[in-house]
Amino acid sequence: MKFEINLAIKNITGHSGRSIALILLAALLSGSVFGGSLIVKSLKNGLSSYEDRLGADIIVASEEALSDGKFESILLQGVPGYFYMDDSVIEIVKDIEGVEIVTPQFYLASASAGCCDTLVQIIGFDPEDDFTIQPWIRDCYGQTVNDGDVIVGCNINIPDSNRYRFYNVDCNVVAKLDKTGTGLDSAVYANMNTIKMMMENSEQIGFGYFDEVEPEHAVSSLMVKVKDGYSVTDVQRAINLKLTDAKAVSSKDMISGISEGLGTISGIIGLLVIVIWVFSFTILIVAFAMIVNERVKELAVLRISGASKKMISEILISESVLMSLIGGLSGNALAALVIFPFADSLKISLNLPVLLPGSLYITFLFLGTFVTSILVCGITSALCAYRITGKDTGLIFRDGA
Amino acid sequence: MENKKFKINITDVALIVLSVVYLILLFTVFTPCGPKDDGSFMKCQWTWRAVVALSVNTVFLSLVHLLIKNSGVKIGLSIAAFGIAVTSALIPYKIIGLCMMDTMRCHTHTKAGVYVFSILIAVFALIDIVVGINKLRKK
Repeated sequence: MKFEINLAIKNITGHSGRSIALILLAALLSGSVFGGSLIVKSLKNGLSSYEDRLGADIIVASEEALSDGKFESILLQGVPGYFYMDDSVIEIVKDIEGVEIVTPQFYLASASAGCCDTLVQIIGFDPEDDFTIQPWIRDCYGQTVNDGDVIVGCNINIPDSNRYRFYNVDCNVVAKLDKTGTGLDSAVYANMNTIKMMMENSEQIGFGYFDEVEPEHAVSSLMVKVKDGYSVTDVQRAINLKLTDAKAVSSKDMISGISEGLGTISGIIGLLVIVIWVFSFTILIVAFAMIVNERVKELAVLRISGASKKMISEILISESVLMSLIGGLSGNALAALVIFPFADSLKISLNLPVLLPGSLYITFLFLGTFVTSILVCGITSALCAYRITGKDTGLIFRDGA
Repeated sequence: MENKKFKINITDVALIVLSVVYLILLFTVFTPCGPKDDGSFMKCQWTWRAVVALSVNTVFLSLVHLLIKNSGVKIGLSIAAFGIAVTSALIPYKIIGLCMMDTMRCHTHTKAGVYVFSILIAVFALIDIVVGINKLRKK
């Protein structure tokens, strides 16, 4: 077998042009499936993470925030924004039948100026009745979030000093949350007292965030949990009937739009991968058949020199397996090299949550597509080898084919 | 007499193409974040400038690598290109660093582009070093 492999290596290096073309084809075959599958899986992971992080059955916010897409921009892309409504809506929503818990959230965009270290979304929550943010804060920080403490999303890098300044309030970074693949990775979380301090300072500095609402009575959104046995749609309708300037949307409705977008993109990627596979597979079969036909006399000489049919088959299969090994490895490596660093760019350009799968899944996908590419090339060359070794050597020299 | 025949290898072409494309993209796509509202720059600006300076060196090295015939000198140039590529990747990662948030332009564009091109240049330089050493051994 060592002789066959040595001969195969010499054949590959001796015909560099032909070998490079086949290696590129194998790279395309393996890399496209690996890359395509990784993107589709990341999009699906992003959607389920987004669903988990929303946490509430119904979300109430000002009509402007929901219709302008401000709310969705914060959640999906982490674009800093702010919108407020009067906190009297809390009591109105609480009194509606079927509502179990109502918790307010407060969104404040930091400024890209001297008072703040950077432009970032600050989200305030009430530790007493919050049921949306605290469960996932508890995963990484088991203690109470005190006044002046902040927890940062996964996309925010913690400075060496462990402190950030927002509207001249020095904040202590106590934890960093796990990656969600959503815009919430780019937010900073604080309790309501910390947020109120920032609000007061922002007013004093001259940032006019609260045009129509009294700052001390402002909230950005309400997260509503519906009691068991009540329909979310019915409760949502009841809230909408009672509120005039604000609007209630169900989490399902918010997710359905993203889900549709994800379905379209996944479908396009899936179709592209299938098309690339069919093309590459066809080209590989044709290329191998043409190469073997070209080399028919060379192989016949080998037969006359004493090489068995099995040996000839082994040489051809070794050649294709070696080339697909190089091609598959380089194709997958190149796909990984492009997808991993550009995952955040992809999220921003698609406007969809993107969360890369875990290392175990990636390793299996890498090996799976790599082995499949080797198998496809091996089977194709085995078919060609079977065809060529079936021919009579004498006839090949006499007829020239 | 060695190196009588002037032959362009795949790695010669790959290095020059990659380094020129990299330099062009640094000025067009992989640009850093803009200035803050008060006109001051964030640290990604300094990272970008350092990376641009190194990539100009890589273009120069790759050009000399393409034109020179001597295998020993080619290996030396590839070693230099490899070192510069690794340093270039380390600048956004550790040496200078980038802005605060991973979603900022310097992370999504500059860092991603620097990593991809630095790794590709380093890989081709490494292949060239290995192939060059093998050639020298055979001689």
